[in-house]
Amino acid sequence: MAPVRAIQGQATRLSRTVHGLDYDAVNDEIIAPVYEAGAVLVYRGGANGAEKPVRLIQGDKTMLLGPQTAAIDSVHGEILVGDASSGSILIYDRLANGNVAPKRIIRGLNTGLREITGIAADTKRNLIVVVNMGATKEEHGVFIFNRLDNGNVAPKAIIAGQEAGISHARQIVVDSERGKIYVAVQGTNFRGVRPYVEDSPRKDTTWGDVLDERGRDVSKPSWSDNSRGFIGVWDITDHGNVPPRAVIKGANTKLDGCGGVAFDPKEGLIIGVGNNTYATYLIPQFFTDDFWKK
Amino acid sequence: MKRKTILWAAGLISMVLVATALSAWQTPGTGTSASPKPSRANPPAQAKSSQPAGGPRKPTVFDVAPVTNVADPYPTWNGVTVDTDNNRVIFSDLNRHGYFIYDRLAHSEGGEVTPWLKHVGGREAGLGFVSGIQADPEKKVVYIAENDGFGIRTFSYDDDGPVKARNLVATPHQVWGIALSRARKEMLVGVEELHALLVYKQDAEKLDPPLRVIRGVNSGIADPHGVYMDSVNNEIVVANHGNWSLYHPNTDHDPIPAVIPISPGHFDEPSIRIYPVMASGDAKPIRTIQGSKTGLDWPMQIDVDLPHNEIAVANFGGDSISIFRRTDKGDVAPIRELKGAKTGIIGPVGVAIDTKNDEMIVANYGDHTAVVFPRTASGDVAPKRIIRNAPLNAETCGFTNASSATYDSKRKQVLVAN
Repeated sequence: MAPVRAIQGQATRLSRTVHGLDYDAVNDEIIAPVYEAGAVLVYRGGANGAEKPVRLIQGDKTMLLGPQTAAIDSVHGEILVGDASSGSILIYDRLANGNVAPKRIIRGLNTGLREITGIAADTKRNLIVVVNMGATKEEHGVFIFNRLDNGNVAPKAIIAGQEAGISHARQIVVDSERGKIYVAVQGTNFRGVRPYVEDSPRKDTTWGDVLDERGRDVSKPSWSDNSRGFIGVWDITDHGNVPPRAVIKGANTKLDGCGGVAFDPKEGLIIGVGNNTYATYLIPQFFTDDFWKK
Repeated sequence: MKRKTILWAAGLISMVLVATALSAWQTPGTGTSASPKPSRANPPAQAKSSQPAGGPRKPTVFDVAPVTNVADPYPTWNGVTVDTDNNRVIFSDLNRHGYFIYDRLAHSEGGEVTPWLKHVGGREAGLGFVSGIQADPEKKVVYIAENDGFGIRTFSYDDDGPVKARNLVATPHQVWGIALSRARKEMLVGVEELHALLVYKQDAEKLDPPLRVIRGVNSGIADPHGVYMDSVNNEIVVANHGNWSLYHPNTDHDPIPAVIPISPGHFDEPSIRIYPVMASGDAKPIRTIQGSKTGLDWPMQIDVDLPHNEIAVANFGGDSISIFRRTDKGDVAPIRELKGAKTGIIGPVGVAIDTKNDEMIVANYGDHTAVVFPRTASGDVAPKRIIRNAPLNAETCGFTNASSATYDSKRKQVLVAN
């Protein structure tokens, strides 16, 4: 199946490593990060071909270093950015354009943030929800902050640990109406260490580390008999080492772990993307209150 | 060759947003999944029940068939090299994670898939989102770069099927282009996120460090893709996309910076930059081809025709092959351009010059083909041979490493980032 349109080419200023993007249904715009150039791009909703972004956030005042994910909070008129390179959540005005400073930055040791690969807003509860890839299972999961948090603040809640099973995850989206968090989890194996730091082999790395043959946490949550990935759904009130309330997972799904997840409540649709596949699932009960009360 | 009316996406290049209409799921049975299709009137039931009484909470499992499942079952080229000593042409396959070796003259007469000689892939091979590919005709060895993990893997020409690599040298994450200099016994790689070029011994293995690194603001290297090591003129050539930001290690094993470094990220114009072969550190290029006249638009693999002093560029965004003089610099137009509906060049990622047989081989990402031309072909001309990795008219879905998505509720389209 060929796409109906493609935004591509030098003029678009897109680069590799778009680990999160969002569609702003209120303002009919698309928001995408540019990891390789420290930028955030905003396109027309109907953009097609070698089309320039309508707005671009980039420059020394922006504090952007390596953003991998971005999302819109159209209720409060803000763009949320997860910067993996600086371990920061940066919040900009929705109409920010050019070399502008963020309105707020959440970063620092108290936040526990390291490699942020997913970000979303819970507009109903005034929360910012991110996927944080930390060095241990307890530091590697969903971190929830208050929307107006600023500076070196501890998260309001963390969903992480063995039973959560979030060992390599990327995109996150929130169904604010029902208070549900959807996470694209690529697998429950804890990933191995990369062999290089900057342009030199990591000094404390052995060939066994490179081949991923030693010291890697491959333990599985009790509710899974394999290490494959899934789309996991948690409640926004969940906290700690808790399993998802529901998962889309298994041989019938055609997905062996997802890097991306999206949904549309009106259509009852869940979308998962990963590797060289995308799949859509019709599960309208996810968008009813009754289902989650069971 | 019929050109698609809708352009699609890029490779592991991963910079394209593709949109797909959801009309398929709305009409039962039009998806590609073979499983029974749920409908809104008949939503799927969970496969397993949850919340056992008195026990720990367990998730409700939905092992359900998708209503739409889009994936390309055929290979997608992401690089090409030609071995005129052994009459082989070799392509990396980004989509199905491997590489294919063909006889140099292999081609399709009609719409059939072109028979190959060897195909290496599968879990044993350890190949994922592969990009650059090179060969050593004397050793009969293939070198293939991994873009999304790390490392250069080496295989023998005799290898076939799901086989282990003969050698693996670790590299940084995001290597795209590789080049060999048999004369220098060196291997050159370009690393996207580091904005750097690294030179290794050709037979480097495991954690052998690079011999030289070119990296820094003065180097002008920005999101490098195609690379070439010229051991006649003692130069290194690199094609840049122009995206640049200060790199900071960002894995879960690396501490966050104490303060966010001031990083005036920027979009430079795409360029071809040339350095002395022994350059290292933050070396300035000795020549740069850059500017509006060049027509460069996401330049991918490059090759240098040393006998004729020309640089060939696979110009993805322009659906073209651009030829520059090797000694060009500044804002110059290509001396030849191969482009147009007759050429069958659609989203080219690879180009290889065969000076022995006076040919040029172009690997397409945007179509399931590679197209072969006379070396000096120019304008809108038909290829002399076509190598097909899928039957005629098999569409490409435009992505090979989808990593995020969103739903355009206004247009009922899924946006997929590649």
